[in-house]
Amino acid sequence: MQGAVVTEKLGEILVREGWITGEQRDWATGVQEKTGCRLGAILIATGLVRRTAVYRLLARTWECDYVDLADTSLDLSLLDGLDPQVLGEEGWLPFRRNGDHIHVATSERPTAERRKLIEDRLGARAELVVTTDWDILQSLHRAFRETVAEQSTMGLWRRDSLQSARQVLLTSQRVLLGLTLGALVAGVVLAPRATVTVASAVVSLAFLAAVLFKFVVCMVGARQEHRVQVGDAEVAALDPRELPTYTVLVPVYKEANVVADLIANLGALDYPREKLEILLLLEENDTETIEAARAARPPSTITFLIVPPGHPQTKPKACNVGLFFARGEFLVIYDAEDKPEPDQLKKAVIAFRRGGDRLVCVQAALNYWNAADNWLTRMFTVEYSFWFDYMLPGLDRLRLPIPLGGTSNHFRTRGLRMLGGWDPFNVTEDADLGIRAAALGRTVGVINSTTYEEANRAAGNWVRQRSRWIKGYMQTLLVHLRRPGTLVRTAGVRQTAAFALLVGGTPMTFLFTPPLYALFAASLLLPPSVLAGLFPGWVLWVSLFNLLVGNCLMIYVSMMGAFKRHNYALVLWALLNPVYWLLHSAAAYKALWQLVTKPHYWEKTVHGLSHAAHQIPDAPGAAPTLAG
Amino acid sequence: MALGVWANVRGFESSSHRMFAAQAAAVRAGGPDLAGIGAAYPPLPTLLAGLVPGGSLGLSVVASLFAGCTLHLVWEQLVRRDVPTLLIGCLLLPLFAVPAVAYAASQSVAGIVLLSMLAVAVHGFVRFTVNRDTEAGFLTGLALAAAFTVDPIAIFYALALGTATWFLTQERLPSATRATVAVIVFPTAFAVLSWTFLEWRFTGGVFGTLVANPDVFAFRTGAFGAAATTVGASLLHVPLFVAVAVVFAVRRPLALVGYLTVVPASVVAVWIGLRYTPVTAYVLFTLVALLSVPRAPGRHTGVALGVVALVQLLLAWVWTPTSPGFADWLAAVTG
Repeated sequence: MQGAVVTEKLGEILVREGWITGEQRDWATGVQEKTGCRLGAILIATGLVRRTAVYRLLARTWECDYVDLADTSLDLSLLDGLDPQVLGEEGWLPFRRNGDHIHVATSERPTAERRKLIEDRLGARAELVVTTDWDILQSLHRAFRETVAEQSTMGLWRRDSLQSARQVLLTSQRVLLGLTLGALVAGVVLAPRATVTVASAVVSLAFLAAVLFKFVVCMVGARQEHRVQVGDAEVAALDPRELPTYTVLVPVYKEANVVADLIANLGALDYPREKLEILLLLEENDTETIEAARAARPPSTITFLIVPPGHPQTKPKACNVGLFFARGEFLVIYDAEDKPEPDQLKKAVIAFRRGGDRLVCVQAALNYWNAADNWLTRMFTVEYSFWFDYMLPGLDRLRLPIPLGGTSNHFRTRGLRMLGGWDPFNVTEDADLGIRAAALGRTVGVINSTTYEEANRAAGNWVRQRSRWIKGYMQTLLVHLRRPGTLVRTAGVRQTAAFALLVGGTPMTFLFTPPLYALFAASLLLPPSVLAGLFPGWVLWVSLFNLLVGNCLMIYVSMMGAFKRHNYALVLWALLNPVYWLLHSAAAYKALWQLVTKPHYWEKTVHGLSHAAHQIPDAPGAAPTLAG
Repeated sequence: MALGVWANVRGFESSSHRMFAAQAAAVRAGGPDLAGIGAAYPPLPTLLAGLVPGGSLGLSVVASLFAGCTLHLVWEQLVRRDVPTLLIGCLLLPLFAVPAVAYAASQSVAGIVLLSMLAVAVHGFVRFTVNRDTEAGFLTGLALAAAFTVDPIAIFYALALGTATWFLTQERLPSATRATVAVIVFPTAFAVLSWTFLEWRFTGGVFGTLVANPDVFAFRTGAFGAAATTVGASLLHVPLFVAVAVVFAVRRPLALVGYLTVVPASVVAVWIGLRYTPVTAYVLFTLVALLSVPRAPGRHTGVALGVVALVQLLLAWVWTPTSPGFADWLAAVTG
């Protein structure tokens, strides 16, 4: 933290040299008093002064040279044995040897203590020059490119291969699967009637268990309706000076059309801008999006991180790159088209402080801003309302594992690193991470804040997205059932059962929906006496119960989800759920096929297709305009 | 439960329990092709009669257990509403210290389930439509659907509550009203259609057990006025219901409409010829009143409600609400 004298000098110099007006300096000083941030950071974050200008002035004030690392070649041998994450956190980087001196770029004030710390780390005398924090980050990224690529891809696998979906099935799982299929085939050949009866009974009972589980969790979630996790008064009472740095990761791929919206949406966050570190994660081969992002002239709080190419090219791998460089105490993922409610970060901070160290993640609710586009967006919105407004609060209340949603999951950065980050080979990396957290004895909570996304309006695009989710659920199930005993010991019996019903039950119900519908259609055509010849009476009763009560309950909770969101026009659309579930089934079969043929393939969802008008919240605490 | 066992020992057997046992036997006799489904309505008591051992006595035990749960639910609601302990004691007396209730709670499994479900539905309806409490909406819809599995009278309560919604929804958007009606009516509608489908599919007919009853859908001349008189007279047994209605009228006039919905629904049910007795009315109106006692009643309101509850208790002993089997049961228990 700069001293007050230097701060004052910097403000005065900036005014004297015409970078800012006296009024802007006074405004920035006022913000500094409120938030406890550095004056330079405030001016940079609001775009009043360019980053390089501030650091050049600081270099003069500190009586040091300034170096532009982007145009400087790095002596990589100097980095041997140094931890890039420590360098990033401490803000320095050795870049050139000069005799017995090493030139070290620093973005912090080069005090005697700092010089000593650096020299101790290097084991040599250091000559400090000043550069920007952005230069340090980009140079680290350049210098440690291979390390970052390796860590973001293979980090979890090297740490514990059994927690990674890199290998779809272990040998033991292959054997078990083979034996089960073999027994099924043998049963069909040798005793077809008994086999069909047993299979129907097993499927019916599993179906019943999955539906009842979801319903019970929803009812518990409904009971939480009036329980506000974080109240407005608590948010208002937060002291901005005590807010930590928050990293926002935004993985973007082939989304040149939504970059401008993304910048506007994140600009609306009610959080001191100088305490925000927004990392835009761009794939190296996605030149179109990179160009669009540059053309959008993002504010200086947004930093581009280019993700090295290589297999697998997935969102979790990009997120791991962001995690590698993240400096915030907390971290959140947003998709490019997300519109989080402005106070979401503050609510997450309060939830983390209240939740204790075991709470590693809080999930915000997701919903859609383009529900009225067509029937598919309506159904999607109904589904999300039920899932995020009833299911997740219910799971939270019952202390059961929460499969995280795709975005708006907030983490303790340290806790996330302890968990091993995201699995780049799991295509539903968020759900996997929620379960892994439970398996490692950590907890996941929910907060009463919503992020609005764009619902998929095209059926093909929807099936692609959903097939990825379901494939990821299958991967997650296979990964976490590798050591069921360990899972039971660490997470608990109830939690393991809930995991199996939720993560295993979801693909299972969608896979079995078409055969059950077909069976129902056939039962309408066959006389009851023929049906009785095929199935025992009790199997028929359970199947009928599933068909009627299961459908009724799932439709009803969907109706209630829409009602709770005050989306009254969508309530009756929930009646179309049986048709919507058939679409899920198509996605589930595609997912199963892909799990066999290309398990790590990331089905890209196209965003920016909606024609509905965006409703972007107003940005709070706007800064004065840039000086002449 | 003890009264149920005692009555059984003294040779009393509930006619309704005997009927459900016969229905369960008919379903079993229908064989694996489910032809017996035509004899299964109402399905829940028939299922219980088929599963619970001990015949009529077993059903009495189940009814008593259910009554105990209902009593606990009422007690919990009163505690959560910050009703003073002494007042809770006074309010619960007309529910568990009255012979008519003991009869319903031990000798009519269908009756006690139905009345409890209807009371939960009416209570939830007020919270749902007036306070937009979606959990209450869930409970209303599901309780009505559950009530339909023991008695078709639930259909009329669902229709009555659905109609009352038009007067109660806070948001005047037509879509909001439609949505509110859908939440209340959907589970019952689904249950009715599902049962209709099942009976039609496996027997070729619909609601055979109801159609066989000559009283149902008789619509006798002048019966509507008579039905209104019957229900009106049964209200005289439950001054507590009237007292809580007065509290509603003073504190929350809008919610009064929802609270009173149970009255016209009962009139329609009687008019149509569905099962309705003074005992039914007593239990239903008392349960609805207790579940609707205002939160943290002031001193004057509390005293007034307590006194009315004691008056109702006294009344229930000196002017006992009766039903066809009640007198026989009382004779068996006391004789």
